[in-house]
Amino acid sequence: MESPPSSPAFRVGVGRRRRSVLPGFGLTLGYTMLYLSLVVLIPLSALFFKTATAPWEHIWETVSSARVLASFRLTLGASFVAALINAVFGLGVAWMLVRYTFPGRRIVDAVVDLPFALPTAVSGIALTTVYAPTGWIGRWLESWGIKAAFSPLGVTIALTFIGLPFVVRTLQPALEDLDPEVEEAAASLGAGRWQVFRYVIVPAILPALLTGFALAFARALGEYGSVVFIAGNMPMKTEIVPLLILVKLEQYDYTGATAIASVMLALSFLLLLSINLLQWWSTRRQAAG
Amino acid sequence: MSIEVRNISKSFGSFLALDNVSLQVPDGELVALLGPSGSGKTTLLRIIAGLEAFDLTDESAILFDGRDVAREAVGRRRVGFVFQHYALFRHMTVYQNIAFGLRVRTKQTRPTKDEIDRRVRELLQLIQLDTLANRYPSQLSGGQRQRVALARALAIEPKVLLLDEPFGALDAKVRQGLRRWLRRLHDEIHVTSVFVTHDQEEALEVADRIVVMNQGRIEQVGTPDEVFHQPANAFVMDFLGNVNLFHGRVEAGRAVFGSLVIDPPGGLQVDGESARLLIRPYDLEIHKDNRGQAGLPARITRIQSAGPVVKIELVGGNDQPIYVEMAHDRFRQEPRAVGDEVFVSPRVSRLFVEDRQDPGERE
Repeated sequence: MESPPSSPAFRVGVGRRRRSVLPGFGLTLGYTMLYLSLVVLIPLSALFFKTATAPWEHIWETVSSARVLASFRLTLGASFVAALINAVFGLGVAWMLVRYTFPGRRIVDAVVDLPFALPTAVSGIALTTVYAPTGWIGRWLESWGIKAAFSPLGVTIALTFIGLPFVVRTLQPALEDLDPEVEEAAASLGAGRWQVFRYVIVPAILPALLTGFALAFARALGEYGSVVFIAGNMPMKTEIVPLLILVKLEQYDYTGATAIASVMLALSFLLLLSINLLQWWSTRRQAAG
Repeated sequence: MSIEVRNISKSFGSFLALDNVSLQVPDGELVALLGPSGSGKTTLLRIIAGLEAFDLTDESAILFDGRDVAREAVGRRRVGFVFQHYALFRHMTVYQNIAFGLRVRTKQTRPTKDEIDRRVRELLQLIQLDTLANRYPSQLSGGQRQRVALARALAIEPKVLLLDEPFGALDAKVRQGLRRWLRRLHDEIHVTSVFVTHDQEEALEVADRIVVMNQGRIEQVGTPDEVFHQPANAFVMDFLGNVNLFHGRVEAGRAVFGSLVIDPPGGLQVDGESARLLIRPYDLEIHKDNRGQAGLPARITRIQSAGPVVKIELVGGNDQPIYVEMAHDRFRQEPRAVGDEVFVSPRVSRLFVEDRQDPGERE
């Protein structure tokens, strides 16, 4: 049960005196850097270089145009709402899958992965069919005066759809890790079910919940295929950023496209960084017991 | 507060974990539930706490001070439960852990902030961890964590304290210190306590009374002296310390174990039944020759003299292993060596015929 504070044998030797038992630190570091450079860093920096070739006024003009700003608002807003919805309902799904055994649990478990596996265009068409004013669900919503497809709501629905597996899959191991005795201890101390959930379970799974939220959010920011069908792509209303980038490319406005992409990249990076900081802060308080 | 358990059974599928168990724990006592794993002791403890359901029948009941609590939820029974693996809240400090039970109370019954603070400080002093109030459980040693778990359970001023193998996860040294501390603590606060253990030494040292359990049943209830010196059956004797077990048969009113014959006063009325003779290692003597006594021939295979007593291992007839313990000065008077052919005879033994104890203890 006792975990030694830090076993010197496994500390990676930065200084020359302390040699690590595990060999290959230099090799793996070099490999990691090379791989990350080739796959991630060089393509992304090319984006910024390309953007930088354009005059500043042009860049500013592009990204501050009303149509682009509207699409930023829609993408960020819808992604955030979708990730939030997933955090809440994904927790419910993960909870049910971990805590209860029922016939068909494995099937439900597999269904969760479908948004991962389906080509996004297929999901987009499927969602549009169902939520369009003539579709199964869209018809009902229409009768209550709610327009699902071809509206920001439709965008949110599509982004929720593709983000769900991220939350469920990150929460499952965290929920399985929960020690049932801790909940029993809380109950024996007089805590009600809600108090056990609020004060014991949520703090324990918060880091995983934040990770799932961040992943779903990040995925939603870049999503294209499933959204463009259900969104309707009306300028100023239901145009998402990735679509706008494509539109610019089709008009051979490469610097415009990269400018929007750069801003999007910077924004996503900042958001993810802050979520990571939040997560670090919540993990720091509970080192492995 | 006294606890009474009446006719409790519990089955997991086809496995009967508890078989119609009844038990009384008087107010203020410290009782140990002792038994091997799978004997149902933890299940019984969890049922008393309300963490586990039992097979409801008309006769079954769990009474706290005569009041049936069988249908009350765990949170309402006011029991302090201490888990083997501490079950501390990892994201809370020691202070917050201890205060938890008070802070989750409803507004009407919750003590004021100052009152909670006073109580937590008191408990921190009681468990001698007042300097570590702001540490997280991961920054504590096993013994410290278990003390925190105990303080957390005591914070709600439980009417009953239930401990499930509280020292099971600790190393030998810490365990010894902590169980003495628990005994002293109980002498101070006198809360009715039940603790589960599979360690007979722990039970003998700490408890006022011991409940020996086996296969879902209670074998014997008694003070440590009673269960140790007057075991109700062979299982209890075997479980409470090392024993040498000899198998024999009743012939002409006497129990015969090879060359060793036990002739209880009054004789045995069950000729042909199998008999078992249980002898503690320190109740066996080693002689050079048979000297007309009924002894068993044996050969010494190992002598271990480092420790409080000298431990001698022998092999008797039919390759039966025999363990003997003797005091160091005795060993010095009559030194033995590995390979010696000797005779062993019991000073005190217990005879069990078909698991019914024969009243005759032979001196």
